[in-house]
Order: sequence, then C-alpha cells, then structure tokens
Amino acid sequence: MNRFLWLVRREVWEHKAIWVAPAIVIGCLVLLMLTGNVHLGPIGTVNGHAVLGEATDEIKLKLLVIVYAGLALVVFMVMGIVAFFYALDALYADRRDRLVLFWKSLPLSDAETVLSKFAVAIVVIPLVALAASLVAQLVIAAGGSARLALEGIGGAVMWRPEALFGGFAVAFLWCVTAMLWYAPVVGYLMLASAWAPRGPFLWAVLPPVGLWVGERFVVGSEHVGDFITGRLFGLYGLLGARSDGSPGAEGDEMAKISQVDLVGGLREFYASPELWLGVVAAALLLAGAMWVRRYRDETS
Amino acid sequence: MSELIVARGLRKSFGSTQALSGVDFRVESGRIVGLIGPNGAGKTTALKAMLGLTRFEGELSVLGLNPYLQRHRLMQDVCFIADVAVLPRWIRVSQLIDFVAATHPRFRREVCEQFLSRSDVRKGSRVRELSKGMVTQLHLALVMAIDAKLLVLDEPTLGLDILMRKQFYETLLNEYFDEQRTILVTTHQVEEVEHILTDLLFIDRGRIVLDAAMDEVQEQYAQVAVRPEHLAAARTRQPIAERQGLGRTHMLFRGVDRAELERLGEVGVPSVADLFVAVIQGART
Repeated sequence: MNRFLWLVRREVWEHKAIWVAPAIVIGCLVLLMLTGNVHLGPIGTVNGHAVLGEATDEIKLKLLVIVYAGLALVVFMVMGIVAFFYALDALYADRRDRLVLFWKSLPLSDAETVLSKFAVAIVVIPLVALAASLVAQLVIAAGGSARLALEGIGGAVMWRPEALFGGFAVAFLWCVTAMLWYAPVVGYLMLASAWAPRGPFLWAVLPPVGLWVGERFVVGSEHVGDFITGRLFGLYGLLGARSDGSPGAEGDEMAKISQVDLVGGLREFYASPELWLGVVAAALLLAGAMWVRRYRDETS
Repeated sequence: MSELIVARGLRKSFGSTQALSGVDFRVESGRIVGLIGPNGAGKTTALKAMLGLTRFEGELSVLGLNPYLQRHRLMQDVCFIADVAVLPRWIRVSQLIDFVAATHPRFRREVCEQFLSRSDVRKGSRVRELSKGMVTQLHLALVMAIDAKLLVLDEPTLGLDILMRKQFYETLLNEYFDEQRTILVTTHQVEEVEHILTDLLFIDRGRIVLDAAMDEVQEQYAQVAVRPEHLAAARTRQPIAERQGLGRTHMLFRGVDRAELERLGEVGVPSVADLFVAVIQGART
C-alpha cells in the first residue's frame, strides 16, 4: 500500500497542474476581492431588495449555500479540465522518450501503475478540488463580509456554519457524484493514452467525433451524439436547482430561492442504471489500459 | 551451476519479418555473457523478451518465471539499463532515489549515494539539468545499488566518454560482479567488454550463430599471421576468414591443431570483433 502511495506521489511530482491550477483559481479570486471587482450580485439584491440586509435568515442562508456551492462548481470545472488532460497524458508521458523502459525496470506491475494514475484522476484531483473550493469559500466569506460591513450591512451571516458547511456539503455530494459519473470518461482517456502512438488527444477525440458525424450524415440519427453529450454534460441537469414545483413559486423570487433544492435530483440519479453501467464500463476500460500498457512500450 | 535463463524455440515476428526464429540458449549464473549481433539481428527483441517487455512464442524462463506475465516479480531480482540512459526529465535526483528506495525491496540507498558521491551529480538537481554523461552515471548508480541476481545492460556506455566507459566497466567488475550475479551485456564496442566476458552469444538474422564460453573459444579458434610462403598450405586448412594486414595475411581457423598452425605463422587469440565478423559471414554464406 505504501508503494501505491509512492506511485501516486510520483504523479503529483510530475503533473504540477494538479496543484498549480487550483492555486491560480484561488489567486485570481483573492485578486478580484482585493480590487473590489466582485459585485455581490445575487447576494446583494433580489428584485431590488438588498437581500442580505432585509431578507429573512432562511433566505440569506439559502442564498449563501447557492453561492458557495456555485463557487465550488467553478473550481470543479477547472479541475475537471485538469483531470481530462491528466488522464489523457498519464500513460502517454509514461512511454514518451522510451521512459517506460526505466519504469518497467522497477518491480511495479502494470496494474498498480495504471491504478495509481486512475486514482490520481478520480480521487486525488477531486480531493484537491474540494480543498480548493473550501479555501475559495473562505476567501469569498472574508471578502464578502468585509464589503458588507463597509456598506453598513452586517456581514457575519457569511460566516454562519449553516452557510459554509451547507455549501461545502453540497459541493461534496456533487464531487462524489461527478467522480462516479466521469469514471468511464477517465477510463476511456487512459486507454487512449496507453495506446496512442502519438498525439493522444486526437486519438481519443477523433473516433467518437467521427462516429458522431458519420452517424449524422449517413444514417441521419444522433444516437452517438446523444450518448456523448449525455455522458459529458448529463450531470449538469442535476444542478438545475429544482423547485419543489408548488405553483405559488411563480413570480416571487424570494419564494423561489427558498424552494431551490441543490441535491434533490441526486437520489433519482443514483438509482439510474446509467450511472452504475458507467462504473462497470470504467472498470473494463481500465483493464484494457492495463493490458495495453503491458505490451505497448514506445511512442512512435 | 544453476540455469538463470532458459530459452527453447523462442520466436517473435513483426508482421512477416522474423526477429527471432526459434532460438535456444541457456545462461548460467555467475557468468558475464556478451550478446553480440549486428543491427536488426534480434538482439533487442531477445533482451526485451527476457525482460518481460514484449510477448513471444516458444519457451522462455528467467529465474524460473515467465517474464511477460510475471515481469513485476522478476524485476525484484533483475535490473536492466536499456540502450539509452533515459530517466524522467522532470524528477529531482533526490526524488528519484527516494522513489526507487520506496518501490524496490533490494535497493541499497547507501551504495547508490556512494556511487553518486564520486560523480558530479548533485542530489538537488533535476534530471533535465544534467548532461547526458551525468544521467548515465545516475542511472548506473541506481542500477548498481540494486542487489539483483541478473543485470542486463543494453549498450550501457552509449554517450559516455572513454574515461567514463573504462571506469564503468572497472566498477562493474570490481565492485558489482561476484559469483552470485550474472551480467548480460550487449554493445557495439566489443573491444571494451571482451576482457570481462566469460561467455559469448552471437546472434544474426534471428538465430544464434555462436554460443560458447570464452575459454572454449580460445581453445577452438586461432588467428594466424600466415607467412607468405605458407599461404597456399594455409588455405587448404579451410580458414573461416582471411584478411590482409601489415604485409601479412591473417587467417582465422577453427578446430585446427595448434602445432600445425604454428608452422604456418604466428598464432594468436582472435579478437571477439574478428571472430564475430568471421562467424557472421560464415553463417550467412
């Protein structure tokens, strides 16, 4: 097990984007706060009401949870891009310049090597994303409350644990869901990365896009396209903050806010076969990547 | 003596080209074997098969294991350097040592550090900041610090200057090699290794064309600087090679009585390079 952690550590040494990217996001956020460019927008006003000044506590907290979770979403998207390119590069960089001959001279199996890289994409990067989103929340809480205080409105509400923990809990649930949902995408990218003779990006992207375009022009249907966009973006349907559908919500922004349910779609989602079939597909794709890594030893 | 590597009917083809066409050989422990062949002879394929880097047909066992299926177990007792000393460019020397120490049960950190202390490699540097010779020294230090039963060196001194090469083979012989270890080495610089080899394995066009211990070779083969008046007589003895040099004709004989050869001219031990050329040419005609 210790050996596995060393394999993971090696990946973090090599792929600096894993910690540089979130550091840049947080750096930008701090900069925006310091230069006063963050307009508190929805936190500040809804329908012309200065919400944080006037609304009920319940509405204030709800809004803050939405803002904190939304912030986490921005961090997740950046880290999603990091994970995409990491998975695409991991097993290709491993072979580049005949380097694989060195790694393979160590008593490390192909399976544990591939698993360590998968673990980085699917566990380490999400954990870094969660930590970064927590820091981002604290930055916003500090900057936001200072600004509210300057405007004479009490900013202490931004530090309420219900808001901070509430936002973080939503972010955590989204994060875990995304890990499961995107596992087969990571598996696919790693298989392409293990196999590609060169340019893993094109080798990974061209076949599905080719099938998509081909189907569209030859058969005229969009099954492949729906499948791809469904897997890539299907998760975002869950974010569409669902109201509980009571008719009174129409028109009244305040009431709408109170009815927003950020994690309401998850239960249904976890019951869907698509999610679990994806997890099975991820395992198969990973097994494929292990098998390919065993004989694929050079890039051309 | 135990057999470390046993190959029977070892084959490998790439499309229609046969890189190895049914090769048999054995390597016993405690030997230093030179695997020598021209480019494209199947050397690298044979090495890769032994190291579990490529699939093969036929039988091959290294330390009793199937290299392709049990590579990670095999690598606890085997270490190798591929022909170009390539190490990850982004890594720091200290990180690399930590990593190998953590993942290799037989790595002896103090041995590695002792080797490095004699080189110009500094532990804080990144590999990309090192010269090619320094990368090679680092790689050699890592590999020599592994207490392995079999060491495979594929063109280990490529990119090293003459001083470093000499130093490398001296270190290998004096500080690394002992009765418990076996070394398999391929190189184009045959003259550098011939004095340390105990066994020769010549390979050409996917076949083994010579498999002999060094002392057998010295008994069987002889090079004679034939005196001009004995040229015709010498040729009736069917030399396996003949070349002109410094006013004398040098002929290489196999299995001819020594006393007889001495009548034809001065008898000497053929160099591995001369033997190689003669055997390969003989095998091809």
